[in-house]
Amino acid sequence: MSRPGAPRRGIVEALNRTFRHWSLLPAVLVFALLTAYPIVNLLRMAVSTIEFREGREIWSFTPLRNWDLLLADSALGPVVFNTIVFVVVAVAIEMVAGLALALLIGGLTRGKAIMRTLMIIPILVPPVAIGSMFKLMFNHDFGVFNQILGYVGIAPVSWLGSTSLALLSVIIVDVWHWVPFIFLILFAAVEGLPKEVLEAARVDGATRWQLLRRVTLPLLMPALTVALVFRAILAFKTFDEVYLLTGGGPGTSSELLSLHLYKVFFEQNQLGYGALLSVFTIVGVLSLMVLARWLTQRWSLR
Amino acid sequence: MASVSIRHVDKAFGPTVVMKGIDLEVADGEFVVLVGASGCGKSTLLRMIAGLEPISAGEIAIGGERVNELEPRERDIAMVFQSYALYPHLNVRGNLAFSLELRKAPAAEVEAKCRQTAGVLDLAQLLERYPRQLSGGQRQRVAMGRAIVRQPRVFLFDEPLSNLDAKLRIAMRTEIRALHQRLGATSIYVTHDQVEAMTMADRMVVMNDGRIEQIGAPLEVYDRPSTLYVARFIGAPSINVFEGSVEGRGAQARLRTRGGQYLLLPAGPQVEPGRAISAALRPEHLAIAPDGSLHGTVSVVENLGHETYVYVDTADGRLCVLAERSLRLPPGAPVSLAPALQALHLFDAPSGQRIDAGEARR
Repeated sequence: MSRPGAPRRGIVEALNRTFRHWSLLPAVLVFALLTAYPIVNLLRMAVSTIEFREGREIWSFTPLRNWDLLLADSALGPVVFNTIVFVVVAVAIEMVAGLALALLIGGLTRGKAIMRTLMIIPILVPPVAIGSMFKLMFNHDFGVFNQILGYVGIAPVSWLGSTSLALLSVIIVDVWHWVPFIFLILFAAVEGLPKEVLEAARVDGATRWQLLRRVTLPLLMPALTVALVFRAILAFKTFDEVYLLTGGGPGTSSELLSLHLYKVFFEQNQLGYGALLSVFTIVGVLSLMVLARWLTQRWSLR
Repeated sequence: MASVSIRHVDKAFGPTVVMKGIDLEVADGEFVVLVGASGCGKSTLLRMIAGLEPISAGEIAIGGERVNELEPRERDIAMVFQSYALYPHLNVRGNLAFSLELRKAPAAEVEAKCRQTAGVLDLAQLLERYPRQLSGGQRQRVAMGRAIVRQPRVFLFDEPLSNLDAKLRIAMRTEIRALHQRLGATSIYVTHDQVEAMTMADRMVVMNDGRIEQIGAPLEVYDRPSTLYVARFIGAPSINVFEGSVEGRGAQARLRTRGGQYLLLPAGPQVEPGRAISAALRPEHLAIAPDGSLHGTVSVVENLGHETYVYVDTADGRLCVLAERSLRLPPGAPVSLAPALQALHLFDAPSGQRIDAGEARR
């Protein structure tokens, strides 16, 4: 038997050695196509002006123009402020309500499954239906909210039409829509709490409040962090509820970042500036995620 | 320290009655072991004493004071769980200090007690570790420490050694006993392991199917089981049982076994001819002897070093005999067995209750 050709064996061995790298190739390609390319394209847009003339798009490299637009955008300040108020208030209410419901329903001896199923319903309703539904309920003349106010002798309120209430109304809808999401995450965690540890604390002398404060909450902290982070990121990007209920108005009193982006892109046709704003939004969300990662690591180390 | 009284306690889950008329007095400083097969209700009884499980009827008193209505935290008890139930988010120090901090004890006192307890249980090097960084034996010791640091009136143990390997279990058994002798605290200890019960208990309570079968000192229970269930449950290898009916009276009284063999019975008024009974005999009360009245063939010989058990197949099933260490018997060899009649336990056949043939038999 003759000696096999040395170079050929070398190739085979090299392929064997690098096999695991090659096997990543499909995933890398999909990632590049679906994630990396759009982001690169967005970055390119963010430093360009794009105009539509003579049936085609014309790109010109004008990074400073987009910056100028950003600085000159008088709506941006209120929009960022609104978004922060919306995220903080809505998510805080949702977290507290979701946790309370999870603890309450987790403590039931029967009917848990039914309660859980009922709680999922708001998540199943399409956002457009939620928007339409609440628009009717918020109606000044025949909406159910004003009817209830009427029963207790309070004059009808312009839920969606007043600058002071519009954002609050959007928050109410968001809370209704998203409390179940928090509930589901926390309910699973509550159900997974080690029963004997809670019993040990009760025997050790913990009152209900001490049990919650010193055992239950620390044990739920990973789930609380996950729920908070997911919800904060999603709330940061809220669009449909505002678009359907108030359209951001009156004025910019309920306009959130996503809706503002939409207006810049599709009403003002400022694609370059819109892309720049998008990049800032992405950076905002990313920093939330980094914060979250840091928080979860801190908690899992404990 | 305190006594524990359980009076006519019932327990029902919905319509299912799982425990009926439990009575038990645990004296101050006593170490009582509840033992029984899984599902016999021993853990439920312990949890009822702790207040983690409501009782359906009857009364539980700790130190003479009725505690039925008290929350677990108001009963001044400590409990060691099978899973140890350490607080995963607290380190060893935090686990030990938890109950003291809940009661808002001064920091210096908390620290002193934690150090002292850690010293007793050899945990001083582990104070900063978290439960998941500990071995099973270390976790078990932390669980013990969490209980003793509080100096409660009563200690409750729910199968605390079940999750340890055999060697550690035996070591901890001794350690818990030593700790009890040192602290003198009233302790109620649940286990399914009859060896643990025998070795640790001042008194043991054998439970079966939600009832107490027998209460007594370990040797008392071993020597005079009050039911066939207890006779079978206590002792390893387990007791040999012959079923059959009585023939003859007085000195002629004998048991004709289901397998057609005869066992002489000690005379007694309760043993009427024709009565269906079970006779039980521990392995150490059977001897291999050429003139023995029971016959069979050797099945298995177990040499444990300090003792040898021979399993003999007979017409009444497989019997276990404690034999001489020097004995050499090949499987299949025919042997005769001589029962020590004075050690025979008799039980009524349907009820399983002990038949006492009078003190003359002893």
